[in-house]
Amino acid sequence: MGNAVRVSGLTKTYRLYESSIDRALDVFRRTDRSRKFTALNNINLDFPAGEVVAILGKNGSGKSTLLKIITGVASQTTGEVEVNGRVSAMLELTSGFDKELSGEENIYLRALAMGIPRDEVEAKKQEIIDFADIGTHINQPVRTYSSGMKARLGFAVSVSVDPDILIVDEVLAVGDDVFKLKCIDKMQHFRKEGKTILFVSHSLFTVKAFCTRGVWLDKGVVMAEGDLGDVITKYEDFLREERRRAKAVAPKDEAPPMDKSDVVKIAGFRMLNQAGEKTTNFKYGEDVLFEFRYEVKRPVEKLTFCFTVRNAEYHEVFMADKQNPDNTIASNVGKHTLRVRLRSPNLLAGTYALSGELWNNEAAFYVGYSNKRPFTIEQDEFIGTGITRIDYEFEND
Amino acid sequence: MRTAILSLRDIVVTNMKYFRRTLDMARVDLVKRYSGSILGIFWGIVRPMVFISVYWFAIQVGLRGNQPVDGAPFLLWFLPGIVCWFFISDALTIGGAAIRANSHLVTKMVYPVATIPVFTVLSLYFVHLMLVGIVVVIFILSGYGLSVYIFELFYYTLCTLTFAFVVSTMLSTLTAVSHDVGHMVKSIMTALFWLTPIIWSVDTLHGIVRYIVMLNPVCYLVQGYRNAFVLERWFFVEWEYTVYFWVLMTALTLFTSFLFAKLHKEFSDIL
Repeated sequence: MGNAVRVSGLTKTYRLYESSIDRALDVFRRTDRSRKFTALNNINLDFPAGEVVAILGKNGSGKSTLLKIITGVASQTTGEVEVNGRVSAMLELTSGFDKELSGEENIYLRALAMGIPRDEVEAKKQEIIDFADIGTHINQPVRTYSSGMKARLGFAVSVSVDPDILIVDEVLAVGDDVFKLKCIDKMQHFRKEGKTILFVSHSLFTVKAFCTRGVWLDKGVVMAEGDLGDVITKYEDFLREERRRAKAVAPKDEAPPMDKSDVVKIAGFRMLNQAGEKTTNFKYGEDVLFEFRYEVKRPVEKLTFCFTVRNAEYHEVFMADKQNPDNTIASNVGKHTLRVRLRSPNLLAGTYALSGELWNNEAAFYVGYSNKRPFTIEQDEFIGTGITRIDYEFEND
Repeated sequence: MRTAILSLRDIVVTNMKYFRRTLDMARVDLVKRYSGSILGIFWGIVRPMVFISVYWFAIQVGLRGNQPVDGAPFLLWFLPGIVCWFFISDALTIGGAAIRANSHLVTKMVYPVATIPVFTVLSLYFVHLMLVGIVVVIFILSGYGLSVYIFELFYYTLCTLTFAFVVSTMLSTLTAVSHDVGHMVKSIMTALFWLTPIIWSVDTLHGIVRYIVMLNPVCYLVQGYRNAFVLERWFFVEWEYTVYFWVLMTALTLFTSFLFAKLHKEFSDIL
């Protein structure tokens, strides 16, 4: 199999100007007053036909520029791009829709802009409408659509051209999960037909599930390419390293003029059992207590507390109302202690996490006292599975 | 110069290649402009009609300037010129912002950019032709009638269309690059309206001032519409002015092609 796309010696330099009028005036000048920004620097890549290639990299690494040049939307500064086959690019799903026109009219509008002949649209229309799956809304103005519906319609039109090469730039980020599944499904279908897909996504999860090859770009240079596994391992290592460095540097870097702890300082958070002993293990049905000290250093109008209990997967079990006036606590300058008792929370055995903050809603100010602090519930007898016990009774005739 | 000629060839070839799509886009553009309104495209006619009525009222009734001009009642004398101006004004403001207004075609799709100003101007031209038709009907109904000179209209509407294509391509190339140009165009429109002999006659001027006013190509077009309806002058009789207009158009076309050649590759980077 040959190459669907071949890129050689590709460089893209953006010309940046202080003011836009300079760009116009530069046409008549002999000198070039722009500052140069190299988005892609001498890229050499082959995209074999029939592969699903993930293009990885941080924001600003040149991914979108590369895709735009392959598509033909943007032009390269130097280098060659060779494309074999019909390209359909999804750089953005919903651009070009007219809000006032109906979904059906927008199908024609978009197809026209893409250069699809009218009779071909006519033949594909039902297929597009079926895929978009927006029911009778198809006859309503697009301004009444939800963003998910717009995305579905846009995707449906883009894939209807039956491309040899499909270019997908981070478009699955919009829309709901059903939409995503449907799109992935459609792309799997393309893959089976031996079509080439170039895929940009920040979701490594989707990439791992779907792509066969990878290209990792950083600052306009190819850092790695080849089998997805190798590339993604290198990329993830890089991300981890990056995060570690960011953490090490962060405290020095950001020293805001006034820290939250200059207003309210929190200390000594601990969880207690019914007997008042410090622990993070509780018996089923037992009260769960937590307490902490806080010091108000500057006058705060009003403070309320709230807390959230999550299960082991960090799904919310319960979150107290952040605006509940009953949860108002002392906010005069000085040291205070807050003790909260969760009265026999019927949580079943397992690990849970407790988070909580003190809030001042008027100023949108908050300071956390606990961030996903784990605690466990133990249970002697088995009464069922799940998160919480539901009281029930039954009648039987 | 070489750049300009090569680029002009590219622009013309592109436009010929995609002409069908351009026509469709023009139609869609027209529908889009008035989409969501009940009267739709008729707003394109209602708006200028209201404008004309108000002008006519202000001048004929308010200023009592009811004298016939060049032997025609003021309203009839005024109509051809103002209808020509409406089109030019839209071509400069709407057509002159065409590429920026259709930026999604530039940055998200592979679309022949050189046809964007063309389809925008064409969609405006449809409305213009309807207005010209209405003016013809008014002339017939008013009893003033038409003369053989009305055939000149074919020539002058084509001149106006050419002018609109060239200038809207030039301006939309510049507005794509710089917002300032767009604002500049909008702010000089009023000046251009009063400096062009639209509600006043160029024949009232004499000497050097008259020639300075006539340097404005819009003056040639407005006068031309009037030639066809009331002035009864052939364009080849005033051949010096016709030659001047076409020399100027050639220069503008080459200038526009040069600009387009230098800037169009950057559109997708800027917009």
